Amino acid sequence: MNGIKKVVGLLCIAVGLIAEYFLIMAIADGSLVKNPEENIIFAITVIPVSIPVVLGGLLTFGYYALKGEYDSTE
Amino acid sequence: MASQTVDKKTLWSVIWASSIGTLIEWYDFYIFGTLTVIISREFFPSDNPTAALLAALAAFAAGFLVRPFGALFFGRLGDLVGRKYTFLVTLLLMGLSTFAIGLIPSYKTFSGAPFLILLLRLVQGLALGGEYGGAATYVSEHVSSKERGYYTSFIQTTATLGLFLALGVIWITKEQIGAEAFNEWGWRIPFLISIFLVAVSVYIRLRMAESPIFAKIKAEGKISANPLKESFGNKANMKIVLLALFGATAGQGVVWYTGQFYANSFIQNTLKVHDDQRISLMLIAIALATPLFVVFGKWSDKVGRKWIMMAGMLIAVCAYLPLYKAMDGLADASKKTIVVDKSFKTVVSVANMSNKLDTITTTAVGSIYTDGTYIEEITKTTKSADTNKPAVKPEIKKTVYLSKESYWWMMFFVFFQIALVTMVYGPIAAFLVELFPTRIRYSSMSLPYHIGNGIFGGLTPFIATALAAAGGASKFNGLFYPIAIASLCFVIGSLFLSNKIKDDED
Repeated sequence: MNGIKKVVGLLCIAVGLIAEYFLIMAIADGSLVKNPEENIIFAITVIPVSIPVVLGGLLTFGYYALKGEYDSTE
Repeated sequence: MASQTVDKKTLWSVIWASSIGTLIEWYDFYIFGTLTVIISREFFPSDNPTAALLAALAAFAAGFLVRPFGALFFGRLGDLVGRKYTFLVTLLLMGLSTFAIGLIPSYKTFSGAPFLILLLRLVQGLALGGEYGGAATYVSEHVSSKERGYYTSFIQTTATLGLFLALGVIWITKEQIGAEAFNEWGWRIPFLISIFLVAVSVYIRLRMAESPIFAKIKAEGKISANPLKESFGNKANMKIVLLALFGATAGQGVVWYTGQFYANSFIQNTLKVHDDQRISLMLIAIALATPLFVVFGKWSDKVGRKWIMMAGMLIAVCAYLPLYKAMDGLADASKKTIVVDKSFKTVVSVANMSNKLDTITTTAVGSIYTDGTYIEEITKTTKSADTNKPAVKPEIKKTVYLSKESYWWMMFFVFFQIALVTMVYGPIAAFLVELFPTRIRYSSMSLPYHIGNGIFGGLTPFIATALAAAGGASKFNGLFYPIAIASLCFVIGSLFLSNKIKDDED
């Protein structure tokens, strides 16, 4: 089980990086919202929150899982 | 915690006081979102770029940016001062800002209106961020771990009932005064009546005592000196916060938003079902599914929280695509046999800005199908008298009136999605409360909840719309976002979370 947890940790790191890339690309080309004003706001509100949460949070979680911090000791 | 429980009468007062306040907060939050079109017209004129920018900020910031900050700010306050006074403040802030929105003159008479609306909307988001954690913590600290899922599930019903109340009040007001009066001034009524609801709720909450467990640790001098540092600066606790987010609340957030908002938006914007049918079927589905919050909450006391939530996510992952395809089939004319096809054409000439006569042709086509579905399509074509002007794209308005049978099937499909919401959301308050110790509970549980719901869940409509609108994409591609998040969350939750119901050792 602990081995699977490490694989999931690695998966989380990959998913975090890919998700953030697509989110930034989608905001850059404006495909997430209908008009430019919304896109600016979306970029300045979502990016500052999504980067620490999606990238930071998921990567940290993945890193901890990979390091065995969530391993069961039983 | 079991030793701290109170008698049943006090307990029901606690649940009533907490739930009614949280319900009102959700109601206040939803009416703004439900009346976005009218609010934009009254306060954010599209010909003013600053106002348009503020409108977008009001829409996004309150849901995404401010809610987690509200969770941090009020969570800290709740762990320092107490649960009772903190969620009294959030309730007052929400109620007063909602009432004030109903009083603000329109942009035509007061140019500062967009800024004020934005400010009040941000206060709403902040208050919402602080409310839920307080209510869930307050109730859970009055009950034993054996019944925590059951009693906290009443708090869980409020987010759905808040939407029900908002849709219902708007619908009834519109029915009573007429659509024209509602659009003119009646839209203010749902905002203004909030003050009475809040007054009642504040009165009830003021009579409640502080949570017995928090009062005890406060009397013993065991409260945290710096709850935020202890919650998020401490690696051991931060690991649990991350696990709560990626193993539970992120998946719960997307299932919640898909079931209650994306379903509504899909029926309205993609399927073009008539508003009266859409709102009534949403209201019936919500009313029928809401008791399931309590059913799953109570069941989680017997079998544990984890597997009920994980089962809800797994069913959602497997069911979304076939479910939405079935919903589409109910309104899709290409899959039906036509019986009667009548068209009406009207041509009028209207003077344009240059005082020349434009020709506006309106063609209405009404089609009745063998299953009883009626589809109306109105095409408005404007031919400008000014030959130099580029041709205007025809405006097409399609409205689908579902047959009786399709209406009930559509209602069932929405009900099924809300039933999944009740599986993932019913036990989550008890689950989050059990993860963290009393001294930092309010701060620790509020943040993952509001990030999961505000960011992962709140992004659902935008990412889903973008995926559905991408070149060559099918209208069902929007579902891949909630499916992906719920899948990841299911894997993490199943592997990493414990199903053991924890008692409070504080």
